[in-house]
Amino acid sequence: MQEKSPLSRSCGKNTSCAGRLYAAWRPYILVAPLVIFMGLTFVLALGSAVLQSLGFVPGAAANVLTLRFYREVLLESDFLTSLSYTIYIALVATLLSNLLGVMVAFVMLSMGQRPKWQRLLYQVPIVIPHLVVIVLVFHFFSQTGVASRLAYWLGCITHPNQFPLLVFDRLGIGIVLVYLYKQVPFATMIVAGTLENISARFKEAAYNLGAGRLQLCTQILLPLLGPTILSVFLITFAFTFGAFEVPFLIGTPAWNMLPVKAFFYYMRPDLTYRASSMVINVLITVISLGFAIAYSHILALIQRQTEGGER
Amino acid sequence: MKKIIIFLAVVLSVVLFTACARPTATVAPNNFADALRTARGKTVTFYGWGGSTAVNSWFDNVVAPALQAEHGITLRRVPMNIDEILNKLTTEKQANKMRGDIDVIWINGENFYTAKTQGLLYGPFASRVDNFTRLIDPEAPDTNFDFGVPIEGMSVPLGRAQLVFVSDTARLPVFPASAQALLAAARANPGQFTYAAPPDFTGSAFVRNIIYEIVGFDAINNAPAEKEAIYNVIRPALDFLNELEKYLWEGGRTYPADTPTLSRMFAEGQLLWTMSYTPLYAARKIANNEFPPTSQTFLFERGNIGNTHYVAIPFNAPAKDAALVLIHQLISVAMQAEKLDVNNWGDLPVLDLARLTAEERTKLQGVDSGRGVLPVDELLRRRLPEVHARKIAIIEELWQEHVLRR
Amino acid sequence: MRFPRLRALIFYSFLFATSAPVLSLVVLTVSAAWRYPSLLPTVFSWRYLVSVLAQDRRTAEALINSTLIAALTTALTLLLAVPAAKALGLYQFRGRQAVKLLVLLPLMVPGITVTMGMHLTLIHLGLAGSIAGVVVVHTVFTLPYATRVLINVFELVGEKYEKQAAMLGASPRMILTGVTLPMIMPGLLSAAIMSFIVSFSQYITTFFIGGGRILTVPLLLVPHLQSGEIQVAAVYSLLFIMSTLASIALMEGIVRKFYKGAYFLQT
Repeated sequence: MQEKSPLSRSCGKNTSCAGRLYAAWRPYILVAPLVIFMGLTFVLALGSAVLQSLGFVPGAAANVLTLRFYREVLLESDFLTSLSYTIYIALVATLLSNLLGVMVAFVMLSMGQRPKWQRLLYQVPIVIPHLVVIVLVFHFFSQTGVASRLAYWLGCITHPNQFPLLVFDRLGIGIVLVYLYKQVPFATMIVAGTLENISARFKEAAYNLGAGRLQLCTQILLPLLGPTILSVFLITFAFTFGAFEVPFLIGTPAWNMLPVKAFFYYMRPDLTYRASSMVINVLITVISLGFAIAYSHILALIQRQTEGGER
Repeated sequence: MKKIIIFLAVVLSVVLFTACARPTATVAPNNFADALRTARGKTVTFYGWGGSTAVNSWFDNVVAPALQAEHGITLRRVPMNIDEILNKLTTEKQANKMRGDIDVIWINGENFYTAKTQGLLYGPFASRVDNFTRLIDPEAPDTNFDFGVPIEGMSVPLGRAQLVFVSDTARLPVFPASAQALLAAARANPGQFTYAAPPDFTGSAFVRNIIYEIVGFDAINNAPAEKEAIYNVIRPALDFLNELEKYLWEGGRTYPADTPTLSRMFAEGQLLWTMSYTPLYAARKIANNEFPPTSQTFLFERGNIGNTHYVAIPFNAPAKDAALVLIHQLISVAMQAEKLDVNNWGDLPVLDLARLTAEERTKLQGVDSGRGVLPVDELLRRRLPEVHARKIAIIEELWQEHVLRR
Repeated sequence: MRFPRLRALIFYSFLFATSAPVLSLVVLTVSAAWRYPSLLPTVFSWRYLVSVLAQDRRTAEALINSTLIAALTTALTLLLAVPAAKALGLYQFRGRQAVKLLVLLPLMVPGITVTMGMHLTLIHLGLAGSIAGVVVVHTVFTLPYATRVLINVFELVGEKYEKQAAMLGASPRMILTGVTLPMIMPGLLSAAIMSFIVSFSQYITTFFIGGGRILTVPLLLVPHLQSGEIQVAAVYSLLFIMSTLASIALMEGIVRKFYKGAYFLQT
């Protein structure tokens, strides 16, 4: 890390152009390693994915740039099923986790300062990897899991097959449960952080000015919280939309989420399927980026309105 | 800015795709004696399915120490599914990487067909393995053909598998020993039968076994390996599976993803049966207390599909000499006898009994095969052949289209 | 405030739901048989713990690899992220938004796309199947988190203390160790911990780029998860959590030792 070179020091406050030149270039020098790294890895990887999706698959029989694979994949009978299944899972998981996260954050803060151990305890899922959460969900919600055993003892069921199928199921409940366990605490943490900031800044003032509870909520909290919730929503949605491990490990074999579909194509020994795999990868990426762009527009809109309100 | 990035990406990708090629293939020994000599002190890397603790333990606790003691070679086992292994080899071939990571792979059927036709295998090498020329019947069908694919010395048989069904006689006194009997049993016990969704290996064999039951082996064997033709032939079997589906677990809306899951569900009393490609599987599970002691293996009256699994050497194996020695070791009498032992694996041997010495024969026949299984001669008597490897994937696709996602 | 009971109920069931499952993992690891419908294991034994931790020599190899990869990933991440975050947090310059977007983009692009896209290139470079290759790929996914945290920290801290120190005649080295590092240390620590956890949890990236040669804890866990051997999977899970927590504690400990009295944000 080079914070200040001798050059910039000797140039001091109002000296030579060399110093100014350095000062002008300094941000670029500082970001250069990161940009070069990302260029050689991430950008190159995306480029490679796009190229392969266009039929330029090294080692495969024909290497002509073509949109054939896009047409084939899009026209495939179960592509739309996979796409809607992916959107459905991502939306349900994200909406529920954000809703619950916001609720818990409000409840937690309204209960006053929580002791440190409680604040640490609820953040436990954030450090637990998805793979372990899958083990947990399986242990609790499989047809012979803890929940089913409880149901048996309560007399609700007499055979494990009577317990509703919650993992490997077509509705993707198992997948959603894994994401809820990970994402509700995440949403809670972020929202609670923002809420604390806001309340410190505004609550007193608003009360002093005689604002009611409802007004406090709608005029101050929601507009200020909006961007936070929206960005949590976006991060969790993009993650759920593109994540592979969870649907791969506890999804139903009947329908595949798009990343799993891409994986299966990629795994075929016949290289021409690489192109189909990359088509799906590119489509997932485009959809995720679409959401990101929509997000930044909505964010700008909210900020404009809030500013307008303050004026 | 964006344009520059895209331009750079394209240029760099093209350069990276085409430029680098470093062919440094390893030289293989010409005969087994040379292999023994040069392989000493090396590490040999075996890649294969690692989902069974019994199989893993045979490799780690039986083969590895023997290989180290007898030939001074260290065995390194990497658990990986065969499609992933082939994917890795394909990508390496694509990148022209001539010195790979894998010395020996565990393979058969359509995967062998793919590997052979895509040039992912090294060989022919079988004649350079001492125990292959000494102990294995050169005329046996499975020495020469793997799922109808000519082997031509590109792989060596490791063991013989056969699809078997296991049920708990205490809960299901009569075996459903035909497709129709299975349908009746499922109807009488709704939700307590199912099978793993193909492309699971065992689930796929079960679907083919049902095809044999409904339309006969010859019909599917004579059909050309094209989707349309096969669909026309197996349609009655798919209809049967759809009829059966109504009485399966979860009403057939979904299927277990793999056979270990099926077995776990049987062990936990969710299902009345399970199945396995390891004929002596039930004995081990009973011995482990996982399956009830009243579990019993059975076959369809008209027989079950059996096939042989093999080991092969990838085109870019870094230690081909050590690979030959490992394969030699795998098919030795001692290792095959240990493999037959249900406490290790319970897999049928590939050796030609006629070629063994009296002592070796006793060793192999004296292995305890445990409870709840069928005698080896009955298994071999009711063993049905496989269809050509190219048809397997087509049948799996048809099953997914017409049964799973109907 | 209304409904205090209801709110307490919601909060405490939330706490319970987050923590109780982890405790149940511990029970799972020592249960040899747990027949349906028994609520508690019918047979307790150390069998699975012993077979995974003591008898399987690949466990140690995987643990060492996982830790090494996570540590190297963290180091590489900080090396790239700290200077960049300083520039992005403190200075206005042309292209700032583009760089910010570039570094946050891996959060938006599916991991499997990036991994498959890099697979071939890394094979060409001879990095596939090596620790270095795995570290490079993990770093792509840790950078967004680390950079984000560090940008916030630099924005918060600002440049004024560094400038003051410089005016008082401190050398660049003194400024770095005496001013900058202590000021950003809390952020640095949370960036490091996040990077470590993200790297430690990677499965599919290690799977592709490691090509089976680089065994890590997730790679050992998944086959048992797939075959439903949940007790074995539980042992690996516990190992996973324990080693993550131990590493976090170690990082915090080291930082505390060297920067006594520095103010710490809770992570």
